[in-house]
Amino acid sequence: MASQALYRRYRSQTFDELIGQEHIVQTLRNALAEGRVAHAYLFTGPRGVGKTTVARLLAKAVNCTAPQPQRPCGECDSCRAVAEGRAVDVIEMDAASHTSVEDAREIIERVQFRPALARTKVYIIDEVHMLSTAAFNALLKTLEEPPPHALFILATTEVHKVPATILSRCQRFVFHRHSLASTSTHLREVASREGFALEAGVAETIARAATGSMRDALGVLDQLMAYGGTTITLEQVRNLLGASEMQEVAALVDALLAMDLPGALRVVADVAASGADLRQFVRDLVEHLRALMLVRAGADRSLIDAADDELAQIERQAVTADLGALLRWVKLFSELDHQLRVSPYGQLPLELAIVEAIVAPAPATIPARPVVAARRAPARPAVEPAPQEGHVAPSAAVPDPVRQAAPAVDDPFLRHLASEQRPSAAPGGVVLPEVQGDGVAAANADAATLERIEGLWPDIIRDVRVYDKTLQALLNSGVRPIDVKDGVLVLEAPSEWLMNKLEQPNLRQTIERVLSRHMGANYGIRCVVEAQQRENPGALREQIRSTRKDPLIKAALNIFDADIIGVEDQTE
Amino acid sequence: MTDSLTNWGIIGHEWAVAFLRRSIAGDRMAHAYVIGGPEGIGKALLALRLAQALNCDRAGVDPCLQCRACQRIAHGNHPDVRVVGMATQAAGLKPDEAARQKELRIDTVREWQRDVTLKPYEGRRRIFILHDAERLTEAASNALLKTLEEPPPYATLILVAHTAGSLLPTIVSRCQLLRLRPVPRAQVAAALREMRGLIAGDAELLAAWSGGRIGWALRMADAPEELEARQEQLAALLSLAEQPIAARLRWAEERAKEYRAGEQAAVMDMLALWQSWWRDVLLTAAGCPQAIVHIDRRDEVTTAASHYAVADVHAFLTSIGLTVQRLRDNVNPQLAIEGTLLALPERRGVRR
Repeated sequence: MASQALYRRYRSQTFDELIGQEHIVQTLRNALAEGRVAHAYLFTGPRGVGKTTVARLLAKAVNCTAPQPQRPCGECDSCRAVAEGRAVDVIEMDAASHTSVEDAREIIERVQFRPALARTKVYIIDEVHMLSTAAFNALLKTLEEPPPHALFILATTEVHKVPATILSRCQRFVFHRHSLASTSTHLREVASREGFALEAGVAETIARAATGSMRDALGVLDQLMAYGGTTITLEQVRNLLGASEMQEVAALVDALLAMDLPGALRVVADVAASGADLRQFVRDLVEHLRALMLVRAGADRSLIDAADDELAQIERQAVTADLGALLRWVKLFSELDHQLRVSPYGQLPLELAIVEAIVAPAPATIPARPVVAARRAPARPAVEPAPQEGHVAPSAAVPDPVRQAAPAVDDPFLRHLASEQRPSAAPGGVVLPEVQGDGVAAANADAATLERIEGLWPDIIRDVRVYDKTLQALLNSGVRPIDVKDGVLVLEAPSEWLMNKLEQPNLRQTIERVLSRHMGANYGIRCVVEAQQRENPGALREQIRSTRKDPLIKAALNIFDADIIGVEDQTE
Repeated sequence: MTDSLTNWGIIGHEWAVAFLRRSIAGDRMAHAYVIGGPEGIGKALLALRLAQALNCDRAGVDPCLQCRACQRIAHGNHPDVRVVGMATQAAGLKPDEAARQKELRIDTVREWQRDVTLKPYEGRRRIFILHDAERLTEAASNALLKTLEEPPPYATLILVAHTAGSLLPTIVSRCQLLRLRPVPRAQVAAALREMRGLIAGDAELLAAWSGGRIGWALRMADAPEELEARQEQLAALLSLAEQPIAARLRWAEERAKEYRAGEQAAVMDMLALWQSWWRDVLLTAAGCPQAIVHIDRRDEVTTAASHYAVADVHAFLTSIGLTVQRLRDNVNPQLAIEGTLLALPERRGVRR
């Protein structure tokens, strides 16, 4: 014959045995001691927190024959009858399979009869949320004024489905989830009573996975005990729960931080091949990213639920992390749980999310704490895996004050997708409305735009890599934005050859696309060759800017549709 | 596989079998199990073997498969083993009504658990197997709760679900969850070679395609014409990229007609096939070609990967996923499929 499940065998039989829920136990005990037991109770709370157990305890207590303070004693005839489920006056009803109004009418009819043996007739209606509306309404009058010998106890996990008219007729008790500590203590106690030893950390791991439900925790323990042996190892727990190794989560985060797409995908492939539970893996990943985010945002370390070595790792990663990116990743990956649950195609949703996380550009950077920011720049190349990236990446990683001024784009990736679906929408670049205006205002707007583009330039170069590595290399060999006019960005290339390259339609389109994604508006591109003899690009820009204010030159520019590429002083 | 395990006849999932055997040996059987995992992975077989092992006349930890009890359970006419699922629910209905059944109704569940309190008639335990548990309606799920929490000592309930995650948490917390994972590729290939006599190359390919679903792989091995159809389908899907928009839209119209004509599963399979191809392209383009599925077309995948940008492939994969979602949500199938086709990424270099 099968042994009884642990959660049934260790169901608390007295108030003293009950774990947690002190607020409820105390109230009920006082009520019992003072003879102020209400006629109807409603117990709510998540699964496995003790609703059914307390309902039975209360049923015992009101019928117990022991002296007042010890009730329920668990030893008298009445208590034993309830525990064994043979008490005629304690009627436990499954509302989920007796949902109809007929079932409710049956209760109403029978409640009028006095109890057969005990003092009180107790109706325990479990899963009460499933009763039909008619059944609820049929119960209303009885719940309001039941005969003095009757006690109703309703229990449910979903209190929002219970009508307000029922709620107002009951004393409502809200059960809390069990804390990590109390769950693990109880697990250790049950294990030792069953003759099993738990390795260090086992109880905590189970408790964490059970998320406050004692029945879940005991179920896992039950399953572990069935594996045989007298010691339960951490490895067994991990195997059973599919708990992913912390190293793999950390490896994935490392790859994400380093923008190492192949590396990140390889981690996922390994995890999937090892048969781990991907949903659990994603949950661990989100937990890890959340910890990183908290550390990065300078939160108190006590908020993070991690062991010391994990914490050290998190602190190490936090040095290179970018708060905006972390925020985005946490959102991205926490939305994944549902997809993984319903998707029959295994790891595809996770892989897509990783590609999205790495390929999509970060939105506006949230300013980091200055102390950490100073340490960021040197730390970056260490984790940069691609050798050809090593030289250019640091400049991309250094937080630029101008980047902070970039507009907070809500989801640039989506917009990017939208703009992709109609690639021919803006062949020449759509002109920004405010740039169309004449005069100084327009020039100022252009200058401001140029400054913004200059700030974003390293990011733009970085994001171009995803589309075309060659183009990135080209841009890195000294191409600079020098002017913006009427929605056209003028790029300066150091050589004629480079200029011709960049003028190729497909390369140009790529740059324009990345550019428009960053700027939130479409810009065209034009290339010019770098004028000789220039040592100070900033000075040139300043010169161009001031020159453009000259009305004569402005008119000339309009007539010839020209660009200013250099300024020479004639008086010299 | 050791000899004692051969009677279970389950490929992969050694841990699950070992766990159940130890539970039986140590008299630590749970009163309720949920067996979860993707389609065609061996869940139903595991449930059946467990029922046999618990009622086998030889009373060992393994089913003998020889005795009367084992054979009757296998044939589905043992009085103490009660099996219910979408198939049994639809059994008494007219064909068109049966096709419309999408959920396990509360009546089915009530009927299934009605006599749970009766003692076993001739076996040692009464076994209740519920297939397709992910299709339980909300009311039906809730009706199971009390039975699952405290069934009589001689009953064992086994729920079989494709996605254990979509069951009510209150149900899962009352059961022991055995989450079967995809069988490793090498093991599927070995099984195909042994049991179906496939040559190594074919077995490898089929194993890769199966994604660890051993049942699916075996079924495909038995039906070479289906495999062929699949190859043709893939070729057709790939040629779409070369065709003008008009031809693509015509193709979408045909698929939509099929979909409306009741071949939903075929269209969904086709989209899954397409998705798996583009996933390979994505993985290759992103620099992780080890995990790809279409190993027979590795060269084509590599060529395709060099032609498309990662972001484009990602966008297209997302749009296929969206189409699947929309079809499930009952959107006009033609519109949904056309939408995907219009999002088909264009090769780099041929763009305007």
